[in-house]
Amino acid sequence: MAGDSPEAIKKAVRLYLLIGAVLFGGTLLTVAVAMVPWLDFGQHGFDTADLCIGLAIATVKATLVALIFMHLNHERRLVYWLFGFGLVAAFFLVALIGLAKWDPIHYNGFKTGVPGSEHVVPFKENR
Amino acid sequence: MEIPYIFTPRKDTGLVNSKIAIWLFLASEVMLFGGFFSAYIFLRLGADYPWPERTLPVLPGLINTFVLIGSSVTVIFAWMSLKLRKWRQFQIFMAITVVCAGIFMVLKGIEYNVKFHHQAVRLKDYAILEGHLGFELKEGVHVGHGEQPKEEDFALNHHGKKIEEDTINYSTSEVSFNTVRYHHDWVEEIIAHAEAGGTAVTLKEDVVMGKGEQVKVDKDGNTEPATTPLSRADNFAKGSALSMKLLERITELHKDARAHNADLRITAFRKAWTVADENSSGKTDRQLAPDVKIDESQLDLHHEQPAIAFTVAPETVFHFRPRDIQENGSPATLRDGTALTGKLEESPMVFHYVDALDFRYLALKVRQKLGVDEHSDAADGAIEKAIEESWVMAKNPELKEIWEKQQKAVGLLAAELAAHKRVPTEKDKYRINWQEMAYYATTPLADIKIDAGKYVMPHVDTQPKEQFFGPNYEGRAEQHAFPHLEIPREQVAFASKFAPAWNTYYAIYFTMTGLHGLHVIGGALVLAYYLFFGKKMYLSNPEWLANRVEVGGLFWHFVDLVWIFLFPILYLM
Repeated sequence: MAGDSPEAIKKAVRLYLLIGAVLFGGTLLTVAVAMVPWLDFGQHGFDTADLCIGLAIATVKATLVALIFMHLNHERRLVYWLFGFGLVAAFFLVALIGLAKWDPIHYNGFKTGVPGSEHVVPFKENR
Repeated sequence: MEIPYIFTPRKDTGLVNSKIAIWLFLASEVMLFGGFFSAYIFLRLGADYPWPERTLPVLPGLINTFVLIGSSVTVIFAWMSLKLRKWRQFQIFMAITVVCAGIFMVLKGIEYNVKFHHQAVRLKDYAILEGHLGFELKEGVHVGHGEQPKEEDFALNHHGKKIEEDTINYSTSEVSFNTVRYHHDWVEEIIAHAEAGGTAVTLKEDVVMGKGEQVKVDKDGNTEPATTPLSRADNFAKGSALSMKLLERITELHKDARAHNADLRITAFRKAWTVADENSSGKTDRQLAPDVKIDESQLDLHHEQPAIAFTVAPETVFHFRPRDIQENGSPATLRDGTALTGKLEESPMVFHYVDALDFRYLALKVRQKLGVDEHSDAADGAIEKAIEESWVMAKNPELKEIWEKQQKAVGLLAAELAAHKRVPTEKDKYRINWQEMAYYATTPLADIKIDAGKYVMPHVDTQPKEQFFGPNYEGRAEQHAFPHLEIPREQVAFASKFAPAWNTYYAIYFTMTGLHGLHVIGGALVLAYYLFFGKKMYLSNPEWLANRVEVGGLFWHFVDLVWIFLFPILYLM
């Protein structure tokens, strides 16, 4: 691999340390967003805004790990094909939830069918 | 045999083979974890109960994140050291990596252990209580109010372990074991309990399994008369004492009798069938069937004993775990088919320390009943009324007082938040966690206040140790931080430890972190192998070892990558 010569490796030390520091910082930021009042976006407490920010930070961290630590920033094409296939397949696994949501026959608001958990019907209509 | 392309890249792929292999494996791992992340989203969106967001202690999870990221950096440095041919440096970095894996698993173990010993119960009115159960005391031992029982005061089961105060107590006058299904452990328990209490458990009637001399068996399996040892006895007198040996002997004879009788019946059926077949040619099997009859009285059938009844004198209260009772009537049946005659005694669930009170589920149910949207405050009055009428509020003045103090604190928080056009969360309003409970229990109503600008409910400060192991119950018991509560069995709707059974959050939490933990262990084993057994390869072919470490490192980074997502979704969201 191109970046494997001793000189290139010595150069990379600082980069690895920097990425390590960014990952540590990102972790602290995630916790801060969840716990520090003036970093609490959206409504008070956990809500969609916190969800998006938390997942965005996690995605950035994961991307850095994959690109730098796992050397995906300079890898052979075959590796991209292999890993890309896994990612796409995983995406479809997650997307399968959509089938449950958009099922025209059975969709009842994601409730489990346990008695008492039925889709909420306004009291007046119920009578 | 020489393995090709281990340290020189293949021409067509430009890669060493091991690297292609690990990326193929990682692609399959992405799909595996992708499926579980999908399950997480599905369970969370479909939960028919309030999802317990931000429920785990953050500090252990945060430390574990740091530990994994740190080890990801050191595993890279270990690989770089090999590339630069610095064996000593490689050893140090790899050792740090393996130690980090160890720390991760220890913290995970503590976290799991705390969950497995933490009790939750949902009452019939949807109030949820959390805490720790007390332990059964030996009969006759009484501990005064506010005193702690001593170690020797606790009753022990036959494994020598303390028994949690979550038992079904059944006053038993007769117990009948299913001859082939009885559960060894539970019989031992009954024997041990009877012996401790001086109760006699004896055969209710003669059990005649054969034509041998009748013997009476004592609890050690000795026979009277002793001329026929238990291993050969087949005729047992009423009044023989219950013992595993006696049960096992009767089971043996019963099974022999079943086998013998089955042989006789099958032979007789075959004969009858042949006769019927010969007598009526041209008939189908179904038409033949009514003609096939055997006279069992003509067969030399042995006695079968499907159940063995014992008399318990005097009537004694035996303790059973709730999940072991199958039917609760008279007779009651256990899951192994044991029938108990007698009556059910009061079997309360006794919380030694209640450390959380949660009305979020109750609130959800009230809203559902009234058809009110989850984000609307239209049902707030009805929820408040339902809480005030709930069993906990009606029966426990201590918890009622804590709830009233909490109401004052919620008012203060709401006023603070109103300045920013915000409102308290469901969790603020309807859940009292242990830090809050300890605060309310030790602060008079007039002194309740919240810290300005922090926008959190008032709480006691947590000691570092409590971040890992949960509240210091004994230390805080002196201030009566956690109320004592006895819950009658009929109020209990569902009870469980904080295990996968409690709800789908804990189910997916244990599944995902457990699977991830297995990956940590597997990765650490491989890396430790390079550390301890890599020297020989390093001396003969260092490039090969470097490639191996790179491949092991890729897996390790992947484990780190998964945790980067697990930490926020399980601890912070």
